[in-house]
Amino acid sequence: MTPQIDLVVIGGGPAGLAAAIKAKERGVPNVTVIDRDEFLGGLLHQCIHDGFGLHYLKEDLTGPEYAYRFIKKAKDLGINLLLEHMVLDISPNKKITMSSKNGLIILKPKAIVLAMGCREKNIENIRIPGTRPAGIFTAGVAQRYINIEGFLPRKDVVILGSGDVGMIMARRLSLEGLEVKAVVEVLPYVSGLIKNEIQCIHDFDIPLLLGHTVTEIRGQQQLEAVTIAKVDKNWKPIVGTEQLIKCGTLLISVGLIPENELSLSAGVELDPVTGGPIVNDRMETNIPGIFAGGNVVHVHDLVDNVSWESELAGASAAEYIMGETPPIARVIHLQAGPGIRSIVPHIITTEREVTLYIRVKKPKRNVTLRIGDILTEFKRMVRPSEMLKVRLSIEKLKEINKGDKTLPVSCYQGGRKNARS
Amino acid sequence: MIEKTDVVVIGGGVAGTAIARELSKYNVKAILVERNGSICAGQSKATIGWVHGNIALFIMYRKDYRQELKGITVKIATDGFKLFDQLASQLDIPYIRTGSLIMTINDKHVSDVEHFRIVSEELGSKLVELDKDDALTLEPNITKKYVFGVYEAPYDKIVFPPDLVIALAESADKNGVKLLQNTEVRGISEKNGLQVVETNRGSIMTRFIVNAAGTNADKVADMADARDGWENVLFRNQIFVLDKRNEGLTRNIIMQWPENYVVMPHVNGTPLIACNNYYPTSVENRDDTRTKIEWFHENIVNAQTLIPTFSPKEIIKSYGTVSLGNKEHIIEASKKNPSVINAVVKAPGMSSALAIAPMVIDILAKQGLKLMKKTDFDPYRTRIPRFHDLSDNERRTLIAKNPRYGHVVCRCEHVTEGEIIEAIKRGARTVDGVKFRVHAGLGRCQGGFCGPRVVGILAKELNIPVTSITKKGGNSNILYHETKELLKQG
Repeated sequence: MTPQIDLVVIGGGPAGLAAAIKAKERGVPNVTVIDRDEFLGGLLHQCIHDGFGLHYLKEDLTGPEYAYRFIKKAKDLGINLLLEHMVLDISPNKKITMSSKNGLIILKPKAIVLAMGCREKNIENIRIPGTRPAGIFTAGVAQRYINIEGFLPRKDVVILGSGDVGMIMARRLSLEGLEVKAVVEVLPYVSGLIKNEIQCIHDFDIPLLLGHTVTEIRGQQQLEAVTIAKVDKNWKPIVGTEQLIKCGTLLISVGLIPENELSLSAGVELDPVTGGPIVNDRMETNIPGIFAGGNVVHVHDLVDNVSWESELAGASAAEYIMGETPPIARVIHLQAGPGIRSIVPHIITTEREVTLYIRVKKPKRNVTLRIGDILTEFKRMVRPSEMLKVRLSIEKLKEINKGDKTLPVSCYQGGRKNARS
Repeated sequence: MIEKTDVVVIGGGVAGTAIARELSKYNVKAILVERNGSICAGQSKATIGWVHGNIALFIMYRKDYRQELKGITVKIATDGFKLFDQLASQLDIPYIRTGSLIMTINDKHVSDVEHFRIVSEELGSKLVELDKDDALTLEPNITKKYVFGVYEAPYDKIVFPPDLVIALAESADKNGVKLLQNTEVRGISEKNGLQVVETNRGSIMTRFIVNAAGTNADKVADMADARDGWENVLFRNQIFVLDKRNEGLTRNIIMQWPENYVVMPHVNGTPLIACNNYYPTSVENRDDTRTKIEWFHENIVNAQTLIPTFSPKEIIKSYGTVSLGNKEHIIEASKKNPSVINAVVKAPGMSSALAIAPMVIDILAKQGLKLMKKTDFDPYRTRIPRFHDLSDNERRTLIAKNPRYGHVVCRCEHVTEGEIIEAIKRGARTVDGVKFRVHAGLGRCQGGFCGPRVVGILAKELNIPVTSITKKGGNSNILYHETKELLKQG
């Protein structure tokens, strides 16, 4: 028996919950959220530090508190919440196969929102030579062990990578009494938020080794030490700069990969730069009726943006289900020009206002962000780790020439403060 | 622990487990000891699982190869290969008959490939010659630039080595052999005509010892003064495991001359690249399986000459191996210590071990062990159901019988809680032990999702603290303290 479900949201983290709530609020009768974990909230559940919701809720909350706001709302709205259910496959005609202790279940919803989030790059992705003892964790796994399971790894920690999760863990481990001997980062700058660099590393007097990497792991059964070395501008270790750091734990925080295996099974087209689906300004993928939001589309740094972006996905899914999809007004492709790494959404198809989420390639001071001929904005400082958010109003979008099929976005040195057009 | 037994088998790889199973057919008491937290931890874990039907590759470079043709190595490999299918059927071991292509991309080495053909034919192996077009039709992903001298051996098979080793071990266990993991031999002495095997968990008094310790066999033999002048020759290689989305990269096992690179499919869907560098290493470094940065660069470039589209981004795991480069297997009772039977098995191990096992039984009989065949030997064994491989209906049936088979724990390989619990019931005690038995943690995220869950399930099923769960036995604990514990110590 296949229960009739209108909307299935895959992933019960901040993205999935925001999308499901918005869709329900917009009138979709039957909304189901599926999550593989024992609890909702996704990774928020293990982010016990604060700083969540400063923009979206104008409050300073911890991860679980932020998640709870959405979980409560979802429950109050009567959204179906399926925990410990693993989606195994999505077919191109939106057939979902999932498994749980209750059995194998097939769902055929009218629409799907993909909200699977991302996974961490691990030590094998960066190919550090040496042995493979116990004691090596990705930062998120260590976070789960400590904050949810209640266990600590071995003393004397080295953290490879200055991603946000790694820096947060540097502080967390210090607060638990483990010494963090170094945070090692191959770039000449921290790859996560500056806020975390200050609050997690400098405030705890943890040595930050920029322009360095781990060149070898030592220890047969348990981790004994790592060698680190300075790197040149091509990230190649410089011979003669090696030092040995004795340690019992190595955390890896070198990046996140949107988890799109299910998207691929459905035939969703991915952007090789973001690793996530190509989406239009309604957060719809190339498959009509399959939408996406949150880290599965591109890795965010603020959960607030995840919520906003995913609400749009949920609202669009609602429109689709109700047969209210707006006709395609135009097709304009956002183009990443000089200085720009990625832009989401990839395509504008409506005449509604659009929020662009942009990532630059390199940290730069005093730059001008330019969007086609319709907007230039001076920025004192831009960083790859800090996603830029640019709102294009309906009026602004009207300024795009009727014949234009592309909207180039670039970021170049120069310009003046207060120069805005 | 002080045990008394008839035979101690040292080493839980393909050799030791094959011998243990063979012993389990007889009314003798036998104990297998494995130093790692899980059986299948040495060469058998690191090998690629190519079950060779044609062993021309192993003898063709010897000047005296003609003498080898009727020799013991060839006989062992050939007999072992013949035993494989029946064993796989009895023990429910998955394997795939892929065939293999031997080729070169360098016309200077066509003569090597030709030599391979000659030796193969003298061995009685039927090969099929392919021209460049045939080769590229069969294997569209290999380089189109230069493809010379290609021969196909259509009968070679691939197996996931832990599947074979663990199946042999389970069968041995089912038929009464005691399997002790995390048990390292520290010393061997003699007392009252018996061998005393000292381990980290107590002593075992035994009449006979079978030394199947592979790359550590020389060390073990020395403990018992049972090394009759032979030496292990060791070499190191590197292996890349590719993301499952590359499934179908090659249809055959492809071996390329002169670099000896092997690109092959995997029973699991994750293609392997064996970078057969054959770096020599000394016996002092017998356990050094580290990978080196220089190897990566060299191996990636070499792999790209065969598979132009190969990107290092597709590597989900790379590991180093230490293997035996001995000229021959060593299968003999030691003259110095006749209670020790040395069974040092080299490549091709997956097939040879199967034929060597009965040979070891014969030697034990000659040395005086009374061997009476059991009437109740059970040759069969069913593998743990693999949710990933089942059809939707098979899955439904399985979950109805045991709901834990519906709870997927390993996201990448779709391994369920039911499978993990069954693996523990059948002997897994470590995270790696679970990994080799049911594949949780083998996929692209390398245990990022399932890791904490596997640790939790192990602790629960074994009723031991989470902090005592190890990755691979010994002191490879994953977690050390509870939160706040270190602050209390202050």
